[in-house]
Amino acid sequence: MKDQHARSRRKRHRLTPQQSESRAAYMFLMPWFIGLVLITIGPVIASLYLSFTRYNLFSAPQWVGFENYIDLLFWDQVFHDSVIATAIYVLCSVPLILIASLLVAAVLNQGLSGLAIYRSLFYIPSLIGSSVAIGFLWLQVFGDEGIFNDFLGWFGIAGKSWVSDPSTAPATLVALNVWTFGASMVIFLAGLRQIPASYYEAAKMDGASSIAIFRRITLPLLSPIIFFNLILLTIQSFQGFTQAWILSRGTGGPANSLMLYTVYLYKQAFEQLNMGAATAMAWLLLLVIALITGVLFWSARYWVFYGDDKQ
Amino acid sequence: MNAKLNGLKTLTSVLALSLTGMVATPVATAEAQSGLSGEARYSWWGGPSRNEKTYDVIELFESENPGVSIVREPSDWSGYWQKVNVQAAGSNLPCIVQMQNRWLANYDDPSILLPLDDLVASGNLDLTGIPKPLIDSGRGEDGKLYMVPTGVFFYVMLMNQSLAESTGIAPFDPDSVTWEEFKTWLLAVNEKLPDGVDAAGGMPVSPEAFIAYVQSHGQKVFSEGGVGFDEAIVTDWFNYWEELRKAGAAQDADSLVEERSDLIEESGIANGRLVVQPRPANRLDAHQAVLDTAAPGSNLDIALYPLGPDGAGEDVGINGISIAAGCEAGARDIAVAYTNFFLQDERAANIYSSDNGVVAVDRFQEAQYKMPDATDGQKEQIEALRVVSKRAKGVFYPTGAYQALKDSLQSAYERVAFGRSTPEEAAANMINEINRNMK
Repeated sequence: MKDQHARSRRKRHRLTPQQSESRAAYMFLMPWFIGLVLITIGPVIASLYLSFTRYNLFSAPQWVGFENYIDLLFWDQVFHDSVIATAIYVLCSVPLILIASLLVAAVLNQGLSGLAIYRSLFYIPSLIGSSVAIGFLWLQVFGDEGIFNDFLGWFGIAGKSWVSDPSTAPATLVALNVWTFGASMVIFLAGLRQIPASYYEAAKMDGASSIAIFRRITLPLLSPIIFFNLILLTIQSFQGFTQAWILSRGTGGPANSLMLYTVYLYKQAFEQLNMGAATAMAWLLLLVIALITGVLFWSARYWVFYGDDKQ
Repeated sequence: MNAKLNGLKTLTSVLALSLTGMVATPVATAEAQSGLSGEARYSWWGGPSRNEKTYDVIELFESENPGVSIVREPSDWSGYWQKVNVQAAGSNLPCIVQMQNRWLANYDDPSILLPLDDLVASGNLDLTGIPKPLIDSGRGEDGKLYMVPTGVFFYVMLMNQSLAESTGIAPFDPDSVTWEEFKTWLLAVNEKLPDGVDAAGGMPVSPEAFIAYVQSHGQKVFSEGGVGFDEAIVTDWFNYWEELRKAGAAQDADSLVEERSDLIEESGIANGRLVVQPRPANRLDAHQAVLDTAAPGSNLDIALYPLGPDGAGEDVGINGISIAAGCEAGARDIAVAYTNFFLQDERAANIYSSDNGVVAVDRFQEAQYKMPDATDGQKEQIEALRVVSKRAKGVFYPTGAYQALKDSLQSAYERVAFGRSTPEEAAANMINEINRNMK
């Protein structure tokens, strides 16, 4: 009787293969989960708390409520400059990268010989573009005695220091970002390869022009890829830091024209030790990126074609 | 803060006495340290030349203390304080930290830096020969000693004497020129300069030049919780340099921005593009070395900042050594021994040769001046300090104040120079920005 009882208890506690598999999966996930909580979620929550405090890294945070947010949004001139500089950077960079990468991908998709070489050549800048060395190179290229002025000199145009003038410095920064279009181009190229050749053949037989084919077939079928690149580039551009830091030599100048949001955030955090203001800036950035991403997703229903849509 | 300001006020007079050998100080000899073993980390800022000297001092110390190793952590000036901030926040400061009085207020807490008073009182830390006001400038707002001074630094205008003479314009008296006379001189010199050379550069965005202007006009730089000067003096400063810039006697806005680097190799004065540029006096030799290649035969000299209605206005600063609070006992002993060695060993002082400000121990000042191989730069620096120390006005830098002044002055003047703000608007914004960052 006793044995029977024990056997039935063991039976009750024996795990089914599915439960056993789940338990193993949770065990394997545990290190990642612990890392997520301790290294990501924990600091994120802590930063939200710190954004409502005055905190200088060394002494205990003091609760100040919404003071950091109010101060940034209504009184901080440099913060306003950084918002304008970032808006210019994002609004110019993202469309230009999309256009450049799509056009080059479309050309490379024409079945050129040596495609792998061209693809690699266009891709390389995206690997090295955010490096410190390229930042310094850019300073030389667009400096007073840089090769860009030598190039202009061939056409009799007098040059100047393009990185030292607040009206032209943002353009040099945008140019550097656009130069790194290779990563988007590779994604576009992969997307173009997925469009069935029969669509193009049918359109040609119907007498469609190249422009009409691009507008009516390529763009709609590529719209999910465009959408993906748009989201990715928008978020990346909001987070741009290294090149603005190098081009402005860590000042955000001339006249705050290169004071990207992240540059000012870094200066507040690690130069001024205003960790409260810096974390408030980080949260505002997160909200803005989330809002813009949300708007882009909402707009996607009007212009992104997934092929299985019911019209 | 008041006690500290009083200390700064008396600093200059005692400095003057010590420099002329009038303060009797016992001559101490650094005893060879024994019984030490292990390692201690040491961070400092500087370029290749200072790094080499520091390595030599460290090697000498290590050779006299077998079993002791100093872990070298040199950094460039730009980025040094960000590194210290991150290390301090992570309780990972090196045991021996090079410190400067302009930044000390950020770290003057027993949880970050070790208060050194007990070590001094017990005789373990030997400050023999360092004038008391200098020592007091290493105290935090709580009155505790967090930094021992190793060098006295001050900013001057480096002047390309050869370029100035080539214009044929009579030189100004470098010790007594007024701001107005200086402006007139720059305008006159500008007329005779070759293309590509400006009379003055870097001045409007130099915090040290601005401080000299403010204090020479009877105003304070910082007060409790904010700036001590008014919008009118900032507006005057911007107008002063705008008049010169528009006349072509000061760098145009583009060149001013291009000149932002602290690197000597890139500076206008070291490359023969400027007649006058503000720089630390202790960097005269390093600039001259670059100029010798860029424009052979040209000679750099030191000129002090002009005088205003209230006399001189420049500040004298202190570089020194701090010991991290988190430094473990064995490493702390090494840090104390190294600090004593750096301060009191004559060979170490001669190797370092006032590279980061005139040596703080008074008996070495005269000795270095009279050394047969003393460079012209070293001698000029010590001579200039003799004048400056009699007239300088000390500034106490609250937490974050220097960085806030530096950043805000630069962006404010750039806005003016590029026509994006009027001097009045820029002045108001600048004061608002500094005050916000000092909250």
